[in-house]
Formats: sequence, structure tokens, C-alpha cells
Amino acid sequence: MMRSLEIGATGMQAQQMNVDVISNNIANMTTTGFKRQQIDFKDLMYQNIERPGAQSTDQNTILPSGLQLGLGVKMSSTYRVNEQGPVQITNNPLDLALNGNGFFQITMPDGTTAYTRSGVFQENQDGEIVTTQGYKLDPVITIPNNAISVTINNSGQVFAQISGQTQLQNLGQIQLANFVNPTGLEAIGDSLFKETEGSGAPTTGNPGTDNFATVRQGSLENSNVNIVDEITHLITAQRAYELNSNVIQTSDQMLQTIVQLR
Amino acid sequence: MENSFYVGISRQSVLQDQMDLIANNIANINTPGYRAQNMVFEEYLTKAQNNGKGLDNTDDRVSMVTPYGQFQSTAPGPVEHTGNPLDVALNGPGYLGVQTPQGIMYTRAGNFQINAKGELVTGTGQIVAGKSGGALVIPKDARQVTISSDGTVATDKGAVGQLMVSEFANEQDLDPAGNGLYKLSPHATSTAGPALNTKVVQGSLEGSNVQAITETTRMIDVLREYQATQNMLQTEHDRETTMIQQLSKVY
Repeated sequence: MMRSLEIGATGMQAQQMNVDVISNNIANMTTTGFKRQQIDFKDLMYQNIERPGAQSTDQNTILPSGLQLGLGVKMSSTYRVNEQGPVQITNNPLDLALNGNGFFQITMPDGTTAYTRSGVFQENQDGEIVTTQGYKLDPVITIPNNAISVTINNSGQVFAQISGQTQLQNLGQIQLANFVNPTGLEAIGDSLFKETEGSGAPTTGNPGTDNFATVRQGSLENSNVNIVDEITHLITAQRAYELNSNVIQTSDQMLQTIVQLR
Repeated sequence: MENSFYVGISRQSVLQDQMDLIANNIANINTPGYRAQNMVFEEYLTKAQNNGKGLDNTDDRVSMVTPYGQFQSTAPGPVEHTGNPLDVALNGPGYLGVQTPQGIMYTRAGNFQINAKGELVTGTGQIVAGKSGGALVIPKDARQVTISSDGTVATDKGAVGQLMVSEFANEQDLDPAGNGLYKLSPHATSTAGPALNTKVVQGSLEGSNVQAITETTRMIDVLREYQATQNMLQTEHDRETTMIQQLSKVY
């Protein structure tokens, strides 16, 4: 009946999604390794009422701009902003922060590999380094029972001090994975990501080499959510939502005006 | 006799079109690089019934209103600092080139991403055009992307290319094509020229230049005009009713 009714609805839907994304960011403002998401809107298609360039008279005068009515807004994508998050010191020997590009590789229970920036690790009953969900770090690093302390250097080499030995024992090397387009990774929850067509295949390497991040032991990478930004976005989204509902109300009043005519 | 009805209807029908336009502007109040649109109306004269040579030599042509076209506001939108290295805002009248199946299109929305091949793409996956044609490919092992004010894209592994930034003598030659893109009108009087007055700003993003207050005022205006026209139609309707009643009393 009236395009503006539906257009207002697309606007309200878009702003609702916007609030969803913002609230998820705010909810994860203290989640280790969380990368904030941003939503991207695009204008929808246009309907040509009068084609630009149509002849307006028989004297070969042409319409300079024509009349094209847009049909609203759509969400084109949500993307993660892979900015480095602030690094917080925890002094827990198995808390690892990544400073730079790259992801820890995690072996999932089904044998596939997932990727994470969250470096909260623990030991399982076999001494293997695992995530808080109990998924093993890839490559597997086993800490011996008689280890007094564990040292992990910036290049990701893991050493253990064994009681009665003066020499540190090399337990292995943490490897990181990197993607051409880390934004294209699919989030599967628990701060874990899966490789997709969009992200490209991972390249693996040792921390500190090429463009791989360095590892910081005893620290954690915090969420890169900036709360002030999020609140500002929230205000904008709410006001935009109200404006769009005004559009619907106005269209409704116009329709009401028609209905009153008899 | 019904001319006043038709005049009123012509006004209401263009007001509905204008309402659609305002609705689209408000729906896109958060769309990066969106430019507010406004409408132009034109007077439309009906054919004279007696060629202006009536009894009293008056012109009896009736003027209606029709939509003539729309134009986009070229005012710069608010630039927000995002800190994302792949966000670029344009400071100046230029547009960024984007490759589409329909040829090069132009956009002010500089929120770019990298696809699986390392190419710079828009949020909808269309390849961002380089100045000398082709895509801008960010090498796999690049650590940092810098985009300088003339649009040169470089990484720590060396230069990648330059963004295609074009300026138009008449920005109204660009027709909106959806997805934040503009297409050069086939009847354009200007062509894409080099960017002389446009600077590329990395880490920022141009928002929509829709002004909430302007659109709301316009919306109130449209509604009230619509109702006023409706009143006119109602008055005309009453007049005719009265006329029919009065005339029929004679017999």
C-alpha cells in the first residue's frame, strides 16, 4: 500500500540487529580474547519510477536525475574488528596472551581443529595443556608430574623445571595459526573459531617469527570492546529505532487520512 | 468539474512518493557512506480546453504536480574514528571505485575487508578497484596495512597499489544502485576525473549524512500537507453534495 511502511520496518529490523550485536559486545566486555563485532548496513535496491535519462518532452530534453525510490536498509555483514586487546598480567603460569597476529590451535573432541585468542590454559589429569573446556592444545604439550614450574618464552617454547635437575627440560613448542582474512573465521562459541572458505587456509608457524604474535606468559589478552564506543552506538541505535517507528506512525496517519475520506 | 479532485490527488500521490524517500533516508540513518535524498516536483499543466480563448479570454489550464526527480545531498557525513586499519573515510568530494559485474561503481562507504584471496573487498564482497585497474591484494604475510592520504595502500612487505578515488564535476550524475554503491548515469554530463581535492583518511569511517531533525521536520510537513489536501478534497466533496442537493430541490 505505502512503501514507507515497509521501509520503516526494514529500518526497525536493522536497528534491532544492531542492538543485538552491541549487546553481545557489551556482554563480552571482559571475555578473554574476545574481538568486538561491528554491523555493516547497506541501502536496499532502488525502484525506478522515472528512469534517469528518460525523455521528458519530444524536444529531446532528458530527465537529469530521474526518480528512484530506495526500498530501505539491509544488514550486509557483521564483522570482527581484530584489533589487539589490552594485555593484563595475571601471573598464572599457564595464562598466555598473544601480542600480534595469530591464534592458538585447539583440537576439538571430534578431531577437527579450532582456533582461539583466549589463552586461559590448564593442565588435565595427564599433565597435558588444555583449555578450560578440556580441549587439548595442538601440538600437545605434556607437563611431567615432577615439574616444579613451567616457563614459556616469547617464541612459544615450553620449559619445565624438574625437581632434582639443574637443567630446564624442553617440553615442546607452541605453534600458532594465521589467516589471510581472520574476519572470515566462523565463531562457534566458547571463544573458539572455525576455518571457512572466507578465512582461507591457515598458515602455521612459531610465535615471534614472520608476522606471528609473540607469547606472553602470565598474562591474558582482554576483550577489545571499548565500552564508551558501544554505549554511543547503543544510543544511536535506539534513537534510529525510534525515528523509524515515527516513520511507520506517520505512514499510518496518512493511511488513516485516506480511510476517513468517503 | 472534478479538476480540483484531480489536483488534490496529484498532490497526495507525490506526497506519498516523498514519504517513501524520507522513510528510506531514516532507514539508512546508520548506513556508512549513505547520502540523504531529496525530491524535486514539477508543475504539470493540463491541456487547455478552449486554447485560452474562452469567453473572457482566460487561461483555463489546470496545473497539477508530478515528481520530477531526486537528488542526493552531497554534504559530508560525520566521520567516526574506528581504529580499524581497513576503514577509510574520504575527506573531500571524491568516491571510491568498486568493481561490479556491471562495471565500475562508486561508493563513499569505506569499510573494507579482506577476502580469502587477500583482495580488498567491500562488506558485500565486491572487489575494491585499484587506480590502474585490478584488485588490491594484501600479501599473506603482511603484518600491517597502511593507507596514505593519496590512497596508496602499503604493507610492511612493500606497496600494494593505490585506491581508485574519482571526482565528478556534477555529483548528481551518480545514480544510487543499492548496497551503498552509485552508478554513473548513462546520460551523465561529467565523467570520473582524478581526485584533486579528496584525501583518504585511514582508520575512520564516514557515516550517513541523513539529518534526523531535517527528516523528521519533512515528515511532519508531508503528513500535514497530506491532511490539508484531504481537507480540501473533503470540502470539495461537501460542496458537490450541497450542489446536488440544492439543484435537485428545484424540481
